[in-house]
Amino acid sequence: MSGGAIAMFVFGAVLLWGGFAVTVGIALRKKNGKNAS
Amino acid sequence: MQQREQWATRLGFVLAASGSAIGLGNIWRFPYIAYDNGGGAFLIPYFFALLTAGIPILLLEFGIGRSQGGSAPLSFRRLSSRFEWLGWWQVMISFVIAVYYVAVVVWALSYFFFSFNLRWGGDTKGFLFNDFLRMPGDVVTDSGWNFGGIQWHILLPLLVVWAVAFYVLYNGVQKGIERANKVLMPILIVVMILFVIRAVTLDNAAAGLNHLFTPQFSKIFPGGGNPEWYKVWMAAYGQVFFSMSIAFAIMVTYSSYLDKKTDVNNSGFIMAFANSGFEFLAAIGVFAVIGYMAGVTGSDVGEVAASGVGLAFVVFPQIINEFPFLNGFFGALFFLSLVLAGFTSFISILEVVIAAVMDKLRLTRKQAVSWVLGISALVSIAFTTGAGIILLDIVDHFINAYGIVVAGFLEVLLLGWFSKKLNDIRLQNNRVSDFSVGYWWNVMIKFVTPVVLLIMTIMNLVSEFSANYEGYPTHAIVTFGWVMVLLSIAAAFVFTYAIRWKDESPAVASQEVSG
Repeated sequence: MSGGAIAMFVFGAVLLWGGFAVTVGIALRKKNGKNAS
Repeated sequence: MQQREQWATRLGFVLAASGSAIGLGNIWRFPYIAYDNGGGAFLIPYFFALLTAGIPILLLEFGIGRSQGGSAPLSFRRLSSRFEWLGWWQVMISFVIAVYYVAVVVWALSYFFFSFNLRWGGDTKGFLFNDFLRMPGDVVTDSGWNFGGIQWHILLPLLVVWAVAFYVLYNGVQKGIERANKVLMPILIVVMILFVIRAVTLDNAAAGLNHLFTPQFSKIFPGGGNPEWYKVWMAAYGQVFFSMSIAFAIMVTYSSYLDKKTDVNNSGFIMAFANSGFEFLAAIGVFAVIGYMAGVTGSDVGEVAASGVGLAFVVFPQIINEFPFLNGFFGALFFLSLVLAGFTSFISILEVVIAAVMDKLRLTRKQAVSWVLGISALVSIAFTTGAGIILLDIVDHFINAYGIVVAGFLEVLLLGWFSKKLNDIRLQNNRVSDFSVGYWWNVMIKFVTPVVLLIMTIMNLVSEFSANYEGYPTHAIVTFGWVMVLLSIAAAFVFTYAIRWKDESPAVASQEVSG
């Protein structure tokens, strides 16, 4: 794969899969916080 | 009054909403749209469209459903009695989509079984149209239709899919829809991951991925030599819009089963990223396989690349034929992913209609499921005829272009400009959510989304009147396109004004947004 193609793959993966991971992380942290209190 | 059903868990709601959004288009539409509209550079307008239109409309619909706690017509009526008809129009759009969507799920299910012995043979196009669909050569001419009769080998699996949908929906929100999604969605993810792992380990997979991801920035920005750069941005908005199950009442209906204290903002973001992340993953698998096929046949990736029915039922069987080993297993993985993605979307579309008639006619779930699925199944038989694929193509095009897009435009217009409750919905969402969304959301709903959807409608109309869609005869376009859309609008007005609410208590009257 060309450098440009690899860069755009990383761009998409970080935004979309990373976005998913971050939002799920927020939900889990809030849930754990509620359970702890 | 009957107690409204609720999701057992937030996870169940997110999985069901994601199951609705992740459908056939994620697998067979997104990869080609991305490839055809700037490759890797397409991700820029796509992500922009996700943040400025997809997620804002999703949060609007989650907010309406959660705060109003009713099906689309009831929820819109509670916002303002003048809006009820829009809810019914979205219900009618869902009904139309359900009766043809089931046919594609049935085709995928049939091909899942065909995979094991590669029943399609060497001529996959001939097999699809002549042996499987049995489309007459003169299916639609200027003088009329040749429907070719009901194809019993398609009707029988169609009845099976209706029976399974009946079982799921009859069992209600928790024991039916939520349980089905908790089982089917993890299977879908695992199947897709297996498919992608096998795809990227094929010879020449990198060539396909290179074509998919190599950015053509000149295509997406003005001054880059592409005078139609704005069409790439509209394609991005279209993909986001059609992919997220918004504007045909699914998300209003699903979120109406939420506990009033459940988060909606973060759930909306999770669902949006799950949907987009899945189609990104699917694109990698599809283009890796296309790269392999291009290598085998010595052709260019662009010559093999396709989308929709052609990709799934003509190109993929060809590719599966050429596989080095375990052809049947790989084929089964691909078609199983289509079946699972299609079925979870299918039940969400039906639930829209079921919830609406339950609310207005005070039917029990069992009565509503029996009536709605009975009538829908009867109508869907039209798509098992030899002309089914042509009917489906016309109905799908018109209900998307002039049903979903126009209903979406009216939804953001009414909520943004003719209702004073937009800001209340945002504040109510913020009060129960993991994080708050700012005033930017109001700006997106009031300005960006109506403008984009209006431009999309105008572009659709311009192309519609410059040539008949796919060159079909005018009578076919009028009957199954324009008349079908007008009938869906007429039916919405009948359900709004000619049929009275069985329950005239304040619960169905217009009321303030309450959290």
